[in-house]
Amino acid sequence: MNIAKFLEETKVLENKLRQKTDDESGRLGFPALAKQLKDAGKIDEQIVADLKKLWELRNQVYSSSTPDDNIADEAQTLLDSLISNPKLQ
Amino acid sequence: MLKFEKSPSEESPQPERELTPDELRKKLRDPNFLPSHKEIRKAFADWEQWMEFCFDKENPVFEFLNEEYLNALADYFVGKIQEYGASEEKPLVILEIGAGNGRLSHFLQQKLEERAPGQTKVVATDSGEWRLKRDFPVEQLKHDEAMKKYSPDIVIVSWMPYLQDSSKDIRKCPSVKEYILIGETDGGCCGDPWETWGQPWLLWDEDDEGGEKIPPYEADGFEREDLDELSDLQICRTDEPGRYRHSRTVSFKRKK
Repeated sequence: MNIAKFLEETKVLENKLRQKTDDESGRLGFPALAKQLKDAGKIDEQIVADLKKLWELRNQVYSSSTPDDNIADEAQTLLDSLISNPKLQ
Repeated sequence: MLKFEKSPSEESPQPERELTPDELRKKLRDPNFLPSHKEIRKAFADWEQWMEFCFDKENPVFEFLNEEYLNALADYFVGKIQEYGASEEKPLVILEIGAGNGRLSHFLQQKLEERAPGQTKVVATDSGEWRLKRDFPVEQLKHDEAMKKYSPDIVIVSWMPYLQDSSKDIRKCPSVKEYILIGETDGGCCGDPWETWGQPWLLWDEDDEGGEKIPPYEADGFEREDLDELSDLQICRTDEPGRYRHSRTVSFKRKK
């Protein structure tokens, strides 16, 4: 998967999570967002751990001035599993 | 009597034509051009254009500096001149570390000169580690060397590298009364979630780093203020066309 596609799909997931928490301002930090969902019983610890891993990969890409053109298979697998997780729909 | 046709320069001025998105994107590449918020919004129609522009290998864009944001930031610093007792004799020293191409410091100094001539001194420094192209004067210094040399009143860091934290060194610098961080906050892609922002991932887990601890900035005697009015004017690479909310401006001020 190329970087642009990875970031685009991560963004779709982020927007979905913001909708689930009614974060209208869109200003909540991602860890706080995950915490709200967990506290509300909407996601479990495994999903939180996966979200954390995905977010760290996303951060690494965005913080680099010249990231690689493609993302590791591990990141794609993680993203696919989160996107298809029924608790995050 | 001879009649001469008017040359184009003598004709009455035509109202300036609005630039197309393609033209705007090209113009945004000019480091001397400070666009308006609207011009940036107009320049990008879709995600592909956005990504291509922000991840350009020669000129990566992290923060889209714009006229409205720079005006608001300059106004904020003008307020600091009186607060910190600066004057023409003793200008307010604002040090930018990790200044990259120097655009932020350049435009900030320009705006401050318009508002309070001679009362501020903005210095751009960068370690040079990222080998970024420099469009404006930037002194090559590591952040600790820069603070030692300039004894700043205020330090600015825009887009602190992910998982690195220079804020603890800034807090140790005795002259620093305040530092301003620009970029993603609280677990985003700037700085260290805990060391820089005091944001642990698993707030509910007391065994986790920072679970019930005091944020490092607070332990060092600083208080945090999110400058929302400035943040509302920001646009950055982690945004997308139509949604601008990821980059923020946050002040950390030494408690009296």
